[in-house]
Amino acid sequence: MNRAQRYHNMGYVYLIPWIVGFLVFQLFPLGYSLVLSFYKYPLLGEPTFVGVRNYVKMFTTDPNFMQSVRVTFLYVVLVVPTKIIFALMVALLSNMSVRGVGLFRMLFYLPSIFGSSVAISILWRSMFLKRGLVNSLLSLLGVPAFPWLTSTSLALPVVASLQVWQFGSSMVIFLAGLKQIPTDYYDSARIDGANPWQMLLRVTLPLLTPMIFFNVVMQTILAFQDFTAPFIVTNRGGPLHATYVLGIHIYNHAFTYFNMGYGSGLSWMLFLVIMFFTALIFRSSRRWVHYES
Amino acid sequence: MRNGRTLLQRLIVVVLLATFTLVGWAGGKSEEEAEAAEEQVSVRFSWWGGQGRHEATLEALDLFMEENPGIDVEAEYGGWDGYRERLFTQLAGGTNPHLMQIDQPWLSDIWAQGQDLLVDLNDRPEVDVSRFDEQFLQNFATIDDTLLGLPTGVNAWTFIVNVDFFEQHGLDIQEEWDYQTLLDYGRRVNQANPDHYLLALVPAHMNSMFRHYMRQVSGGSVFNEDGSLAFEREQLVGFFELLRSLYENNVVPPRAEAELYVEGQDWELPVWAEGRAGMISDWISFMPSYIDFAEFNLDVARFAVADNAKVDAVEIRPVQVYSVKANASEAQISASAKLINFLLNDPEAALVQGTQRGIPASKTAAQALIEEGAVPKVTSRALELAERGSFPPASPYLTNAQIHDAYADAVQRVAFGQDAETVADDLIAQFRQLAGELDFD
Repeated sequence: MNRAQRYHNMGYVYLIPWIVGFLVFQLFPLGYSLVLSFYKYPLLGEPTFVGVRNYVKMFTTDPNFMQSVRVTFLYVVLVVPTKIIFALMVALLSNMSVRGVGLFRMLFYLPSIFGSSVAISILWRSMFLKRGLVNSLLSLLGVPAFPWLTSTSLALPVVASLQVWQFGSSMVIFLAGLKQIPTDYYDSARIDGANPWQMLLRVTLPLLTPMIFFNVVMQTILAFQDFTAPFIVTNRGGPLHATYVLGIHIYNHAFTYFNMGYGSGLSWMLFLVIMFFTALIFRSSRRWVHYES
Repeated sequence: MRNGRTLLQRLIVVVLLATFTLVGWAGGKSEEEAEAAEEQVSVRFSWWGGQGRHEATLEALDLFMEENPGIDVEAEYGGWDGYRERLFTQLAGGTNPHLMQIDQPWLSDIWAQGQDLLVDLNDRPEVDVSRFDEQFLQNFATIDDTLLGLPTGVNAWTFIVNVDFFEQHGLDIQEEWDYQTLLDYGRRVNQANPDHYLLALVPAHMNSMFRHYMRQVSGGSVFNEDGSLAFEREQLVGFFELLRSLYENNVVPPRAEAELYVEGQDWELPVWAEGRAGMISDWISFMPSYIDFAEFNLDVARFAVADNAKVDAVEIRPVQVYSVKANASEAQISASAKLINFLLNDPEAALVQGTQRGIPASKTAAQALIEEGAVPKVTSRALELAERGSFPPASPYLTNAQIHDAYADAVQRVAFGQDAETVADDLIAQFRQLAGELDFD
């Protein structure tokens, strides 16, 4: 073994801790849960093989599965476009070289650092209580109080708003994309007589499509998996399962009823759904994403 | 190996690591030897509760450790939320504490999954089982002749009454209630004052009402031993229609009140705490908190009985049970059993713990409290009223978590105004399907 090869191998040696961690804590549980999804395993007993019964059960006898799928889709449709549009708008606005714009960029970015942690979710919940902050502010404007958390039609938008509030991370990516657009394009557009609106539509947006594509994929994947916000803000997916996303359904079956096999099956079903939609977005990207090369 | 210095540094690191490992391992070993020499045993004890219960239990533990210097008790305590999930996960992994406070309904779920998880307390000489009511033990803590746990206290479901409220409205406090009277009084109360309600109940309370009503009209268990339903569809529809009329007549606050409800701290529910409600329903084990928290006079009344009840009864059950981990060393099991005996049977321990876990199930402990006058009058009165009739033990189907969530959902749907007949049909279908999957025989 010569010196170059030895240097090479040292790299692998340094990787070993991470590889071990990956195998033990990520790859193995992944495989185990796939196998487990074909078993019935009530945690305190022994696993019994049941074949595809768990997957059949989801679509036939589980009364809450279809509801949670419906709610999850609705949630994704509410969150992703809104979040991206806000991120884009604010990125465009804060792209100006105005004094103090850096402060605003930071303020808009801050919520996404907090994330929808348990603490933030509890705060969000208390804001939307009948006697909470939001209704108090509305009453100052003379608007009557809304039953934010107990109405089946308002609860999901409230939970979605917590996610949308965290558009900062998407915004930063758009900002980076905006900075990359060569000013030559704008100059030549101006020479051709384009107004700001046309510049936005014909220059900015097309050149931003790779960033938009990235954000759409990332945000969709995250939105499908969201758990903490719906769980805490509406107390486990109420009212009447209006915010009962698939993540909560998995939690209930795995950690409240201890149906480990069924919970694993549900998780893999979620994975398949996410993969399906991600693939869809990828296929469609050929039509609307323009890479500069 | 690039140069000699690097080799030396590596050698030093290896030697240091080896030394630390040996020292740590050897040190640990000598600790074990010391333990064996002094016969020092360490056991872990977990429970849930509020602040009052934590302080009382810790005091009792201190007393125990004073009298038993060879036993060290590590306390693991917290709130109710998440306790079940944590316990079951620990049971599955074998990392559960040696002495566990377990909610009695969980025993059948635990037993169904593994018969070797908990010690049969009949076999332990350290515990005097004779001080407990035999029938009580048989009904609630024994499965297949195995005594899985000892009850801490006796609990009963009761109405807790705001005496001042009834005076204010000029109404008589009934000792026993039926649903017609509740509706009648409820209408009058709310008509007199739209902010007042006879019953401070949120949908979570309705789950207990559901259980009581269905157990009363079905003859006790709601489910038969094989999991089939022991009630008629009409009876279920009857309950849901009753529920609807409670909401329509403003006997209970509108369901939006539920958003302020924190499970396990019902005495803080605003409509009750602010004195705008006549009665609330809860277990007598929470009476100390109600007494501490209320700014008005309290009394108790027997929980409502349905008109067409086959069994005129109100739920009485252990507050919870103490169980011992089976997969532990003999010393640890023995120490845990001694601890149970102390906590439950010792008169001094009883005085220290008071009624934080209801009225003690052990006769000696209960006696000690009664002699000291340490049982609040309302608590013993509530138990007395409840003891006027008793249910047969609850079917394990009824206490299962998925079944509970199924009827809790149904109650919510009715509270939101859905049609009683549709909800009843859906629930029956769900019960049948779940009972088919669960395996209790």
